[in-house]
Amino acid sequence: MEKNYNKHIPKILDFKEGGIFLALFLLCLGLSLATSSFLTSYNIGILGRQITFVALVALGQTLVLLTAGIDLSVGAVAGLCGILGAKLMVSTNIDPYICTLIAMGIGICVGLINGFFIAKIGLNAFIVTLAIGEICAGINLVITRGYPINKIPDSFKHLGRGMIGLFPVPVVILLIITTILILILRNTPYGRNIYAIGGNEQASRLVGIRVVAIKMSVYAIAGMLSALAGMIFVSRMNSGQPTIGPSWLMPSVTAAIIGGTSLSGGEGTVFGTILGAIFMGVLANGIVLLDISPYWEKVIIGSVVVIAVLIDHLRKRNRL
Amino acid sequence: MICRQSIINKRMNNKMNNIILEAKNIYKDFPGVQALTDVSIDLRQGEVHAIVGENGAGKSTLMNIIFGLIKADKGEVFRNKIKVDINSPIIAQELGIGIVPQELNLVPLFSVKENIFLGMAPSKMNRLVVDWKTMTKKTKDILAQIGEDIDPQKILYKLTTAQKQLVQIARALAFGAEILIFDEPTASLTLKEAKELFDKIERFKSQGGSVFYISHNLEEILKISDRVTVLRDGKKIKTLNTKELNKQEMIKYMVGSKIEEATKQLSYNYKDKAVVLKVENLSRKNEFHNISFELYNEEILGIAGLVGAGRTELVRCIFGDARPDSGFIYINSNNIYLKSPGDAIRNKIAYLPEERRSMGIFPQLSVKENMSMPILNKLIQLFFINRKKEEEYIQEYINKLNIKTPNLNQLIKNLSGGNQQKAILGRWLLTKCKILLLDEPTRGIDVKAKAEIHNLLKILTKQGVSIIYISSELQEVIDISDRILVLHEGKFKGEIKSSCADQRKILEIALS
Repeated sequence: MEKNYNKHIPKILDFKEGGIFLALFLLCLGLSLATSSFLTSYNIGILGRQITFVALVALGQTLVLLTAGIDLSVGAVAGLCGILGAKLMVSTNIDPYICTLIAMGIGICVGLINGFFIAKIGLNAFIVTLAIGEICAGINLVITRGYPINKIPDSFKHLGRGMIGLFPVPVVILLIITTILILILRNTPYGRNIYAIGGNEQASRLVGIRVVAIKMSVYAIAGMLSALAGMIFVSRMNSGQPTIGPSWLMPSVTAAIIGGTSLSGGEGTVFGTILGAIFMGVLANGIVLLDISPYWEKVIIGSVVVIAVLIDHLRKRNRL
Repeated sequence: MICRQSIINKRMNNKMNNIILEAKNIYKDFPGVQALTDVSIDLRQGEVHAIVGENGAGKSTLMNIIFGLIKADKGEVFRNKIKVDINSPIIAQELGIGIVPQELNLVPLFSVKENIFLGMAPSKMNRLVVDWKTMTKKTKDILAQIGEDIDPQKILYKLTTAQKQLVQIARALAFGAEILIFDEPTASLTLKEAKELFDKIERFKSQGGSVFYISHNLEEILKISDRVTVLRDGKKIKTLNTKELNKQEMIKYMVGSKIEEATKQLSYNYKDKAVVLKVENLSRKNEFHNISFELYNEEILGIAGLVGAGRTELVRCIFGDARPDSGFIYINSNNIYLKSPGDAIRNKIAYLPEERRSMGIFPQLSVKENMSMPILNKLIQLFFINRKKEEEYIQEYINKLNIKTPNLNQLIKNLSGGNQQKAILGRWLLTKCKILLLDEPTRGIDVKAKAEIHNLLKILTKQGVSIIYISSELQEVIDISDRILVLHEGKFKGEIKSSCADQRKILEIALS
C-alpha cells in the first residue's frame, strides 16, 4: 500500500481497488435512489447470474493481461466450447457434467495453442488470439450452421439455473474460482512470477522464471474459464446458442481495465476485475431499469471506460 | 512578462565570469523524501561547473528543475540576473539552456538531421512543407561548430554511442543553447571518446558556452572543471574552485567522513586452489571467439576491455541466457550444458546484469518482491509463500548491504539507482550462489555505495564465493580483482596479475 501524500484524496483510494469500489458504491447508491426495482432480491438474482459470465471470462483475461498479453479469442472459445459440450451431451450418453469438463479441456487446448504461438514462437498476442478466435467462431458455425442445439438433458438444469442456499450456482462457482485465483496470485511463487513477467519479461528470464511455460498456462486458464462460462450459459438457456461469446470479449477487457489492470502488464488484481465486472453489469442493468434506450448502452459504457481510465491515470500521477 | 529574447540579449553586456544562471534557495520534496533543501548554485560565463554527490544527493533533481522538467516547491531561478519561471523544457530552451541526458533522447530510425531538428523542422510555404535543404545545411553548420564530421543523412542507430551523444549536443545547440547540462556523459564512452568529448566542451567554452557537468568520475572532474559543487542528502555542502581540490577532499565532502577503501589484501594465493569454473574454446558468432580461462575458488577475476569487447555476451553464455556456438563450460570439473538461467541458478551461478532498468528490476514491485524472486521456491510452505520468513531473509540483506529504504515494501522504483543496484545484488546473495558474475556492478553508483559493495565482495570471497567482475573502469578492475583477463573485440588478449597491473599496461595488452 503506497502512502497517500495528497490531502485531497480520501483514504479509501489508498487501496488499489479503492477507486472502482467507490465508483461501484456510488453507482449502486444512485440507482437504488433512482428506481425502486434495483435493490430487489429478484433483480439482484438476475444481476448475479448475468455478471457471472463476463466475470468468469474477465478473470481469465486478467491473468493474460498481467503477463502483458491479451486474449481476443475468449468470446469465441466460450461459444465454441458451449456448442461442443451441448452437441456432446445431446448426441451421446455421456453425463452432461462430464461433457462440461471435456468442454473445459477443449478450452485449455485452444489456450495452449494460443500460448504456443505467443510464448514459444514469439508472435504478437493480439494477432494470434484474434485469428484463433475467428477460427473458433468459424468452427462454431460449421457445426451449428447457425441453428441452436436443443434437447439438452434435464439433469444439466442445475448448473445455470439452480441455487445453493441463497446463491445461484453460477455465483457460487464464480466465488470459488475468484478465491482460488486471489490466493494463487497473492501468495504463490506462480502468482508472483506472473506479475514479474508482466513487469519485466527479460528480467524474469534472468531470475530463472520459466517464462514460456507460465505464459502458455495463463492462456490455457483463460480458455478453460471461457469454456466454463459457455457451458453455464448452455445450462441457463437450456440450449446451445451459436451466437453467444463474442459479446463477452470487450466487456472482459473493460472490466479488467476499470478494475485497475494495466494493458502493459504487471499491474492489476482479481478483486479489481470482479468489481469492474460488477460495475459493468450494474450499469447495463441500470440502463434497462431506468428505461433508457438500449441504443445508448454503447455510448454510456464507452464513456465510463474513458472516465475510469482517466481517473486511474490522474490518481497514479498524484502519487509521484 | 519579460521577453525571453531580451534576457538572452543581455549577454551582450556580459563580461567573462559574470553569473549567467543562478538558482537560489531551492526546495523540492517528493513523497517521503526531501530531495533538495535550500540549495543555491550559480553558473558563471564560460565555466565548466561540476556537480558531485552520492546517488540520491539531489544532483539530477536540481538539474531537472533548471531544465524545467520538475517544478521546485520553493526558490527562485535567475537568468542573467532576471527572475524566470522555468515551467517546461520549452521555456528552458528558449532561455538558452540545453540538456544532454544520461539516456539519450533520440529516435533511432530517423536520420541525424531529423533528430537534431525534431520538433522544429525548418519549413517552407508558411509551415506547410518541410524545408529539407535548409535542415541539411543547418545540420552541417552545427556539426562544424562542434567540430565533428557526421553525415546528416545517416540513420541514427548506425552511429556509435559517442556519435549519438554528439547529435544530442548538436540538438541542444540547434535550439540555441548557451548553457549545456551534461548528466554522466562519459558513463558509456571509451577513454578516447571521453577525451574527444572534453575537447568539444573546451570548444564550446571558447565559443562563449557554459556547462553544468554531473559526474561520479572524480578524476574526470579534476581534469575538466573550473568549479565543483558538492551536494549531500539534498543540501549543498560547498562550492570550490577545482584548483584547490583533490580527490580525497571531494570524497570527504561528499560523504562527510573518510571512507576506508578496503585495503588491498595480501596477494591471492593460487597454491592448492580448486578451479570452480572452466571455459574452453567458447565462441559465439559476431560476439566472441575462442575464449578459454579458469576461475579459481574464492578469487575475484576481473575482465577488462573496452566497450564492445564481448564480455557481457561471454558471461551471458556462462549464465545460460545465451547459447555458445562451440566450446565447453565446466563447473567444478563437470561439463555442463546450460539451457536456461534456471539451470545456471540451480548450479549456484548468479548474474548481475549490466542494465538494471531493462534487465534487472521489476519496477512495479516492492524491494522485497524484487529481492526474493529467485528463492521463492525455498520460501514456500504448502504451496504458499511464507511471508514472515520472506521478510526475515530480506531484512537481513537490507541490513547487510545498507540499502536505504523506508521499509521493504517500498516500491523499488522509488529507490535511488545505487540502492536499486544493491537490492539486485542482494537478490543474488540470497541464492547463496557460489559463482557470482557481475557486469558493470558499480556503474552510475556513488563513491560510498561503491566502496560498500567492494568491501562486501571481498568478504564474500572469504566465505567461499568466486567472482567474475566486468568493468570498463580500468582502475576499478585493478583495485578489486586478483587477476585480470583482457578482452578486445571478442578475442582474448592477455592475462595479468592485478598486483602488476596499471591502466596503461592493460590498454597495451588490449590493443596489441
